[in-house]
Amino acid sequence: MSIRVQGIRKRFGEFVALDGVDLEIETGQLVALLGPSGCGKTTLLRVLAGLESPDAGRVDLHGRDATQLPVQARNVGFVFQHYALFRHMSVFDNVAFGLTVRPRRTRPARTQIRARVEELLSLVQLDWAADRLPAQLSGGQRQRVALARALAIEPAVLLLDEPFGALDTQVRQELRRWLRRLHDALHFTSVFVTHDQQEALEVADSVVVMNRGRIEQRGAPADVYDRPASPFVHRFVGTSHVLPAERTADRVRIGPIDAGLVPGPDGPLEARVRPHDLALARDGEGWPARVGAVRVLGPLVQVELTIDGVPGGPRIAELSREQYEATPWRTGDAVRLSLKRWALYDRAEAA
Amino acid sequence: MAALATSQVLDAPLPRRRVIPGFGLTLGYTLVYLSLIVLIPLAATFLKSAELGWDRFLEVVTSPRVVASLQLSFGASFVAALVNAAAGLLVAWVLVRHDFPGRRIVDAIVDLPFALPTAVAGIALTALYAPNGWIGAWLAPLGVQVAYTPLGVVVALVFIGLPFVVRTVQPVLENLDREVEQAAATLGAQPAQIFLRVVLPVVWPALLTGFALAFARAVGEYGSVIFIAGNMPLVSEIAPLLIVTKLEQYEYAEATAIAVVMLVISFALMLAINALQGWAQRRAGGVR
Repeated sequence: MSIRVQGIRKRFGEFVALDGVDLEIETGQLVALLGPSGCGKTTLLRVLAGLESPDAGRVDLHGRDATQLPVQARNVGFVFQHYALFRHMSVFDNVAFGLTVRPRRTRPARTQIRARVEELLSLVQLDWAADRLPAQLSGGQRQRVALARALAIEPAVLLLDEPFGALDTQVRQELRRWLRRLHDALHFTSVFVTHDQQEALEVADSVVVMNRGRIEQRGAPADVYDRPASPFVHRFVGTSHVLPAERTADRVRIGPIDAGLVPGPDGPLEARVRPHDLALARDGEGWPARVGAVRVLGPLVQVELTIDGVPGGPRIAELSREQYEATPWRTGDAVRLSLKRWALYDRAEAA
Repeated sequence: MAALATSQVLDAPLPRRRVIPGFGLTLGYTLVYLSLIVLIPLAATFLKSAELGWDRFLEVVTSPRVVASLQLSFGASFVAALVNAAAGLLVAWVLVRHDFPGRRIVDAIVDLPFALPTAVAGIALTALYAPNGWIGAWLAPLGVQVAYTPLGVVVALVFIGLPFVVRTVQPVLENLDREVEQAAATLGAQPAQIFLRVVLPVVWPALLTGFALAFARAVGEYGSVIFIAGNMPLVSEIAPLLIVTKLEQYEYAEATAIAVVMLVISFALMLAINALQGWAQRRAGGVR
């Protein structure tokens, strides 16, 4: 077990940033902390690093209680969203920093430091930039320098705070795949914070969804997407359409659709559906609905639907190009809308 | 279609335009203004001192009393500016990095030496540091006398120079990203290492500017010093006072001779500090 966190609480004045967080992260995993801004994900990361001290709770790193350990002694690599490079130092000196500040008896020899820095710079494909200043590099390059700098101290865990947040989409995608490959090659334990669900689902072994200072769900990316534990998670990790449902005598109906036996008290429920789990047909079972705008977006086709008698704006169904070409819907068509997969939640929970 | 239009436009030579407007007017104004306010009075000083002739000029400025006063003025200013650089950095640091009740009041107090008439400051400091004053009474048994000694001159110059360092360093510290220091800490740097290797190199150019301003101000300071210095020739008499003394004795040319020497030394020092600062700025990464 690389990281174990128990009962962490942290307030900033009136604002509760962390409200009792328990989390365990196995060695070698790449874990994403996912949530909206203000959900406490960055605070949790900073508590792990020792940059923030919790009001209550305990942090264990590699089986040792690290709650009272100062930042310097934790041996964690930290990568900041805005790189936080030393702008008066060359790229080489930035990467060497963690080694050169060591006390004399544990500091590697000058030649060893040079070899190590050169190795890291070629690992992040910046060996040509050793003598540049950070200001002379692009955002993606700077973040790679920051990563090399963090890896130089051979950290027990690598913590990344929105590492790709300040980069443009293309660089961002490239860099996160590259991080994944690097992680697979070096097998360090890493935790990264993001508010971008796609990034979390794409890169991480395990996703931790946070909301209002608590962990809502922890699981593999596919689990979190397919079996969200709460309406919040359903809404946050992807597009989520809400449809009214009703339970009578353990049998659930979502509008005209029979959703089978789901034991529980009678009353209204809400069903949440992903856009690609909406199915369209000319007739048969399902809601009568009308096709609004149709948008062809590369491999996907979005079809806007207004469901007769169900309040709320138009729902958007996502069809594959093949499905669409088999039955090309036109604006104004009357269709029957059914569901391929859904998740049920109590109304109260959803509120 | 738009591409076609641009390619046609690109072939035509463009008139040269400056992006920042009013270059001619503002430069002209600057030169006239500087001439009227700074250069012409200073040139007059040089002209007046030339009345003495070279031999007499040298005789005046190498007389023991003048040399001693120049040494005191520049020496005490240098020491005071050093003290201010250190103390000012600390004050700026506290004001930027710590939030405490009354921070705004402390922030405002820093500017008081700017606003206070220098004579008032001088009299207040003299009263405090005289052997029977509040602070002087404690120092006297230790054998330290501040008022009426060169040390008193330094104290007065420290007082008037403090805001220069604080106000130049403060904005740079405010701009210094906290995360940079935190990054250094996660890499294992101890607080002293963070200060020396991460904070100081970035603050250095501003600190030099503050030092230079405090030094320049101290060299020219008159009002606060003459009360606390005691003004003993060869011991605690500053050069500006000597100039005033000469003026009161109608020795105008001799007064300007001392002024010319002060000017030349000051100018040389400022140039040197500027060069050092430019170098430090380039080392600090150029940006900002």
